[in-house]
This record gives sequence, C-alpha cells and structure tokens, in this order.
Amino acid sequence: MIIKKLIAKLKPLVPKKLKPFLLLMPPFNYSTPYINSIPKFEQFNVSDYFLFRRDEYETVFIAENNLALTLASPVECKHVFYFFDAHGVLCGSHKIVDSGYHLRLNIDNSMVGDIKIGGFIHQTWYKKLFTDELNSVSQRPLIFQHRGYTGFRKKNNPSSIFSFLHGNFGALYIDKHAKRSSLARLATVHNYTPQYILKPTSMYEFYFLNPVNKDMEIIIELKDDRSNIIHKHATTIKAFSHYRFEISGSPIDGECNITWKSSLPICRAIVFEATGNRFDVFHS
Amino acid sequence: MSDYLFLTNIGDDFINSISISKFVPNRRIKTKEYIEFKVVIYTQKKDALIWCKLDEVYFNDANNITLNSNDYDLDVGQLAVVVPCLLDFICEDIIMSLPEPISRKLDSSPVNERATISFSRGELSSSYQGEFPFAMSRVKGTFLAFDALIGEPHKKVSSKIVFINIFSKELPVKNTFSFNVANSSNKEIIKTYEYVHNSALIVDVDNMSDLSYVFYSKDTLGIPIFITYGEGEEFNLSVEHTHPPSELFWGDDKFYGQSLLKSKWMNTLP
Repeated sequence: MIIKKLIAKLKPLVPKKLKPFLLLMPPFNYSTPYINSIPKFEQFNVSDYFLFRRDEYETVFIAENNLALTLASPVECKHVFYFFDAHGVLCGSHKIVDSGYHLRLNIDNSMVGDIKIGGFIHQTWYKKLFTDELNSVSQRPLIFQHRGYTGFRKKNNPSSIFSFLHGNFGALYIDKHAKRSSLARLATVHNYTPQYILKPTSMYEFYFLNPVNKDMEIIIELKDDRSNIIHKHATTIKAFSHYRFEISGSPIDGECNITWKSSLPICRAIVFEATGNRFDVFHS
Repeated sequence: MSDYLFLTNIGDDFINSISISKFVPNRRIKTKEYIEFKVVIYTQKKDALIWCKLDEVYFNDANNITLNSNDYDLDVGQLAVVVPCLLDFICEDIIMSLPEPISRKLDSSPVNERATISFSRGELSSSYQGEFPFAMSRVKGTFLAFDALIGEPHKKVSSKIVFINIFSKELPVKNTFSFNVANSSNKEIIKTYEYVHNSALIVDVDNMSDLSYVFYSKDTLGIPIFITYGEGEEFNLSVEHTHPPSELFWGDDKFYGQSLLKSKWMNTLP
C-alpha cells in the first residue's frame, strides 16, 4: 500500500516528454506487452503470430490488404508469408501479388514443405505511388498491423466448412536485414485464465506460440470445481517456437478450469476442442 | 474499462450460451485469484424503453456460471444483456438505463473482460471469447465491417451476421436505424435492414454470390458475429467476430487510422 501511494505521488513528477516511455515501465507498469521503440524503415508493418496445421487439419488464411481497405479502393499489394517450424526455424515463405481487399491463402506443401504444424506471419509491401496516395490523405504516419483470420478444417471431411479465429497476439516483423523480430516483450510473471470450462467428454489441444526472441517458461494448471490443482505441467517454449499441450480423458473427472503462468503480459493460446469428429477452435 | 456480455435468440434452432468464471482473466501473480460478483440479466423489448430484469445469478460455491438463451423467453432478435455486478448491488426489476458492469481487471495486466460466447445447433457448437465494452455502450457511433469471414460459395452452407447493439444510457425514444449490405466494389447497396437500439439484428448473407460485401450503419456502432453452418452431419460450425478497423493499424495512431478508413468508406457509400 505504501509503495502504491509512493508511485501515485511520483507519477505527476515524471517530465511530460518522458511520460510515454517511463509510465510504461516499472514501477509504474509491470505489464506493458510491447517495447515502446518502433524501428524506422520504409513500410514497417507488424503481424500477429498465427498457427498453421497440416496434420489431421488443413488451414486457410484470410489476409487483409490494409492499404486497399484504408483507401476504400483496390490497391496492388505484395503479400509475403513467412512460415516457421515447431522450433521457430524458417521453413518456407510465399509471395503473392493481389489487389483485392482480402486474399484467401490455402497453406500447402509448396509453402511449408513437410512441416505439419508451425507458426507464420504476414507482411505487406506496396509500390511508392500507392503509399504516396496514403500520405496525401493521412496527416500522421500509419503503421499497418496484420491480424487476419485463420480457418481450420478436418482433412478427412473436405466437404465441411472452415472454422475461423482471428489473430491473437504478436507484433512480429521482418526487419531491413531480412531478420525476424518482434515488438512483443516479456515482463513480470502473469497468470492468464480463459473464461472457459473444460469438459471431461472432450479432447483439448492448447497451442502456445512464443512471439518473443527469448525462451519463455510456462506453468499450466488444471483446477477442479473446488479450485484444487489436479494437474500441473511446466515447460520452456523456445524463442519464436510453439508448444502443444493436450488434455484428453484423465486427469479430468468433472468440469474444470485451466490457467497458466508466464512472463508474457498477455499470453493467449489457440484452443482446439474435439468431440468425436467434430471440433471447435478459438483463441483463449 | 469494464464489459457487458450478452445472450440472444437468433432462431433457426440455435442456442446461444455464455460461460463466465470468477477467476480474474489476467493478473500478476501477487494479485488475488478471483473476485466475488454476480451477474444480472436485463432485457429490453423491441418497442420498449425500459429494461426488465430477467434473472440474477450467483456463483454460490461454483467457479463458473453458464447461461443459455433457451432458459429465457427471448423473441428472435431480442437481446439479454448480462451485467457483472457486485454482490451487494441492488438490481431493480425495472430500470431506464443499464448499470455499469464491474471491472474484473485488478491490476495493470492487459485484458479484455470476456466470457466464452457459444452458439450451438444440434450437436454442433462453436465459440469465441467475447464481450461488449461498456465504453461502446455510451456512444452512438457508426459501424463498418468487411466480409472476410463469409465462407466460400457452397450450396449447403448458410452464413449469418448477428449484429449486437447495446446502448446503456436512458433512451427518450426508440428510433429505427438502417444496417446496409453493400457491394464493396461499386459501393452500391444490395439490401437494407432495420434495427433498433438494444437488439440483435440477424442478417442472412447470400454466400453463393461472387460479390464482395461491406456491412455498415451510419446510425450506430455494434459488434458483428459471423456464423457459418451447413445442413448435414459432415458440416462444422464457425463462429467468430471481425476485428474493428482500428486493428488494421499499430500503435498510438490506430484510432486515427480507423477514423480515416471509416471516412473514406462512409463518404463513398450511400
């Protein structure tokens, strides 16, 4: 309480010019999810870290043409997708030029090779005449963010529809040296609890994608209806890699909740719930 | 910032459910694990200006509350707003404006105060983590969304948009508003639907068309939920909301970007 009061007293004393930086740092804020400095290179744009599956699922991605949507008019866009394997190593890339507001991409072998499950990011590039058009109407420099929509469908049910979820978290980009980087950062330990009830009749897969250039510890706990911890699992997720956590049958007897601790200020997972041949997918 | 949750009846044998837990959605580890609250459910009929209390639900000893639309006698398109409240908050049976929901955010951890919002039909079910921000319920605003989540053309597949609109302040009169479906290429209106404040507009989208759509209202804001489903055992169900246009931009200028984008579209759409 004393520390809180002291911090409140210190806040007004922070010089105005430094406020945007200092107030996002401890002791004023322990939960800032992104670094505050933005790289300065032409057409810098950031992407969520998306999941693709080519195991028993197939994946489509709906990419947005941000400039076309902003100008309310079709604009030629070079979409580039970078795919990473379970260890976070680049396993393929794919370029496509399109003018539509949205691009539908079926993720296949030509893009990811034999990799069954991994992460990917989306980057865009526009010709100068189009960015000049944006600059002529915008009074501020705008940075595009790619949050797209990923759709999953069971491979053994190709006549069905894709179940979609939107981008989750990330702020990854390819820098001017063609190197993958991220604005996401680790901070103090946070505890994330999705508002979701796990049922003993279903099988669950939780995919955690690490969007930072550092290894990340995660501790996953299942709690029964009396808040007793009935299962606990700790692991390390390497930089830019992903981790899959599965729950099926045991150890769940009844309905329970799941929670996890990590140093990501907001650590969301992509969740697949399967009951027989039916499934649901959502972000936590 | 705090958030409302909602239930609605969208017809066609769908059941809408929400699940909410007493666990704090995101917190630093020294912050307490859960908060004590209850949820109160209010509804406003299409022609009414008053909110009527439908239910008041407590966790008791449980960690979770699940609410189903078919537990309440909701007309198609009628909205039930779920308000997280402190345990000692007195919830009147009839009110003119909605109470502010409590915040389930206890420290500076970034989080949307969500619930699992599910739609099920027969044995199929699909969900997303959703909410309706209190701040959005205080302003009239405008609405613009694109068709990214409308599936590929398929004879046996149907798509719906459920447009949720909550206005928590007292209403002096119930105006009728327009929700438009337009061709995003030539900007011409294809169809217009009427709706009112505090309702769920259900729009069936023709997904056999090659057209690309833009959905908009110059009258109010709202949250669009896209539902795609098929007739037959082989089909899955997809439920998701689109990002608001501000999410196309990064950083401090994201709302400036949204304003620019919206003005471009709204100035060319009829």
